[in-house]
Amino acid sequence: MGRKLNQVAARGLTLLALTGCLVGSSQAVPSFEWVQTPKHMYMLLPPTLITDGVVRTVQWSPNGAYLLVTASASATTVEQLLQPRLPWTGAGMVLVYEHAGQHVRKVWQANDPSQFVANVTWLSKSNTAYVTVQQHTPTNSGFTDAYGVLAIDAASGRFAWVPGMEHLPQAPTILPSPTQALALALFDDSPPAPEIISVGPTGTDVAAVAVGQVIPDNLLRPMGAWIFPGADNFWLLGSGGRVNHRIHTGPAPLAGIEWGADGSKWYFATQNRKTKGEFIQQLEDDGRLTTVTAPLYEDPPAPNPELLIQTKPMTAKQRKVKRGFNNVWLSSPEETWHSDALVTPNGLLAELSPSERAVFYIEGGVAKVRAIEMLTEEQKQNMDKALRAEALSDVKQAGLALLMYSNDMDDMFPGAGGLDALYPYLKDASLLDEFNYTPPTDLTTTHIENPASTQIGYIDGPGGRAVVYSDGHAKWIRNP
Amino acid sequence: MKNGLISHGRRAWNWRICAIIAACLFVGGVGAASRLPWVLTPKHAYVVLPATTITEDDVQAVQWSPDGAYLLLAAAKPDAQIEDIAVGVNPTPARRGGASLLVWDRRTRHVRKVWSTDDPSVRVRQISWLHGSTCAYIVLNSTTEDPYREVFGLLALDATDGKFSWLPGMEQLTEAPSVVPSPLKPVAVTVFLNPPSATDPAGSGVANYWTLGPGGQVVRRQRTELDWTSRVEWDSEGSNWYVHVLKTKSKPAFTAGIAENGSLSPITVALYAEPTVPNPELLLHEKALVATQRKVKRTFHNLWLSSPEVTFHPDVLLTGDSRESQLSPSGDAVYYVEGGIAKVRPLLRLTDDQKRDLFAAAKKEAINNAKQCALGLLMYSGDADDLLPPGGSFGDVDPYIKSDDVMADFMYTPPSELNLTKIGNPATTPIGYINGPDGQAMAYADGHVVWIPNP
Repeated sequence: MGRKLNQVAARGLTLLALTGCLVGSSQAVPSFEWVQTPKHMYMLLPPTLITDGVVRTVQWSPNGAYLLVTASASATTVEQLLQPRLPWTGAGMVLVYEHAGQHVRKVWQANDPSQFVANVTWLSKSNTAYVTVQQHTPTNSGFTDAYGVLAIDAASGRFAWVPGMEHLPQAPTILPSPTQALALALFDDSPPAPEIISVGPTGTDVAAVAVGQVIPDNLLRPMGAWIFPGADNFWLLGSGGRVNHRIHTGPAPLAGIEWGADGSKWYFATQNRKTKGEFIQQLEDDGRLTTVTAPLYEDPPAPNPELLIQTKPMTAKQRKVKRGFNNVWLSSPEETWHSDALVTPNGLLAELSPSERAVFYIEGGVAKVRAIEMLTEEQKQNMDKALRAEALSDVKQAGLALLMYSNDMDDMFPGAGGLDALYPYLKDASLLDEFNYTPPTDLTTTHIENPASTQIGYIDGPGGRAVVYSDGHAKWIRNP
Repeated sequence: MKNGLISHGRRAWNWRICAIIAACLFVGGVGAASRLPWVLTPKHAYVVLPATTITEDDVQAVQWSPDGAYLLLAAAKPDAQIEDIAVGVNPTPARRGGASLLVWDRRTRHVRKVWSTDDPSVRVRQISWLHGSTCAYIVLNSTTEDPYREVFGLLALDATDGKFSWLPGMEQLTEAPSVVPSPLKPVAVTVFLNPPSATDPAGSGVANYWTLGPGGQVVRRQRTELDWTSRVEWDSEGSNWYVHVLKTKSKPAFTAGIAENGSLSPITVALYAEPTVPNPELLLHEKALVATQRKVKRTFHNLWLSSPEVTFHPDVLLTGDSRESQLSPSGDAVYYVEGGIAKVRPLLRLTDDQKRDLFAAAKKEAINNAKQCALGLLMYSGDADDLLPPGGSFGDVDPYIKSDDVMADFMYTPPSELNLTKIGNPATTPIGYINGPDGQAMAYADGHVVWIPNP
């Protein structure tokens, strides 16, 4: 496949009058894949290797310009590999892939294997991501954990510890604003002492509960992002690791966190299960809660995606052994003549970037990104021309193979589904992948009255199909 | 009353199932080796270690050292024309050009770049290892445009320290040299042509035969008149090479040495013949599959490492998508290209102790998985009026089982009576099994599992 498509690429290349030598027969060139949506043609570029470490988290920046991958070094010695696996395999690291230059940069590396990344949060409209690093150290009585928060600037690759959040006894929660370059960090800087507090309007409706306790059956339920009670620090972080505002208070109420309509302020929010009435509170600097009336942020209706990722499970089977794996497809939701491209036959955790211009996946333990390029109108027309020529040439070869087969088989065409029999007659059998065989009702070639007008198969192409007839000639037929 | 009892019974069941599942989740002891893919031949068990990534560049040539200790690859940055098409006038120069030689060491499992160039016209043409040494000879060429000129050179490389040297006198050849290593000894012969002389451009030319030892030293320089119908053959000992001239219309085939004066002197000698290869213990098998989505189809290949003889676990899937796979000559590592990335995976032959641990773990896993499948079937029947799925529909149990891997090896044998409440003796009615080492984990209709050793 790769080789054949390279020929297409080469033709497209000459049409585009671009110079450069052809790929020829080099083996490692990945398949050239494309998707035609109703509006545009997209090409999948060759993969960029991100890491072969053990991937822990993967997050696209909200605008799709960067991908932040956190990974741990993989085990290296046979002894390590044969040991019972520890929950954490190695020192954590933070890698940033920049879509514009298609390159990867390691921006942070832990000092020792006890440190790894627990969580990643991107800010909206900013190149800043907040990364929670966990340090998991063995002690005499088990393990002890500590957390620190890094601010990473994806554009420069620089990082800085958020002042005051370098060493926390418990994991902080970081909630980004949906529209502003802000995030709410909430954490408990003392060991937890769960207590019940009442903050509801009647004094009894809302209760903070300890982790793991069953939520009491009351009428108010938290809205938005759920927080575990116990946090007593509420910090507003800006881009680049700046702390805009700090509030230290008592343990949080049993409420969710919601952002205001413009994304600049956050509130505690609960909703009455029966009346659906919203109950919104603002945390003042002195720790008091005041009830306010504020419109909350609502996600705008998502635009229809032009591209999406589909994961299709397959089973590999050999004698007694079966293993599952997944084909990853990049697809146009609306069907066109070529609405799908195979990103990889064997991918995991595939994720399209929010801008639909790149796809992340893990293949055979290696994390990769393939960029997706939208062709200009001129490039698309040139590609269409090249693809039509390719379809015509392929369909002609398939037709000739059918004729040669029938010559050897007492003038009989193979039956429907018997295309495998053509392999010996084709130099590159992969062209049969595209070929749609439409055997005539009477398979005996000598019985066909008008061979020049009897269709025996076709290959779909842009705006039509390449059809081959039982006399071996091929013709491009436009869609009506 | 009866309904009440049944529903009570079922709730009790569910609790019990939950408890057992929880227990399964916390069973630690499944041996580490079984988490790595493995394959069993009649003689040994092999564990497949994780892949080492060698390069994401295009591999131009790849060659195992004859003893399997090293893998030598020539790679070049991919040509950027696919990107040129897509990006149009804005190519990404960062990925253009340059070739490199990489050595993977089986012992350390590390890759080392031993040589590289920024010249995008450089291509590696041939890699030849010297038998019984760590030395390889590499034929390279580069081109210049305007005027177009192609230049060849020969590089000697020592894989142990990564040191390399250009062969003196062979840096600026205009014709491609070829290297023919001895099949048995650390010696090779390289053949290259002298450029046609200016005085006699139509002359038949001269072929140089240089005998090479390990470490890039030229043992002997010989030359003779060029004969296009000749090739190099080694004798049966692998110590001397001869010019073998093929049969033509005018003369029969003959074997000859090169005399002092450069003429060919025919000789009768036993030439080296490839010995018949003993049956391999493991072999690679690339199995074609087709990915289909609406109108688009793509062929790709699963890579299996298999024992030719069937054992209870004779195959292991190395990757879902492979090309160019090669087993090392020593049979303890596999090279393949997956999604454009060249990788190598070492195989570890387990010691008897390790094999015992692996079998114990595999047995435990088979029992565990059979138990989960049995419980999945019972839960399924709980939601389906006490009916087990019919034969061939074991996949319907999927929602009740945490991981598909658990179900992969379970052979579902539905009892003739699918209604669980009507099965007279559930504790003796088998509903399926998983094959394990020297036995099978048999699951019964009451959810219990018994290990039954092979007779």
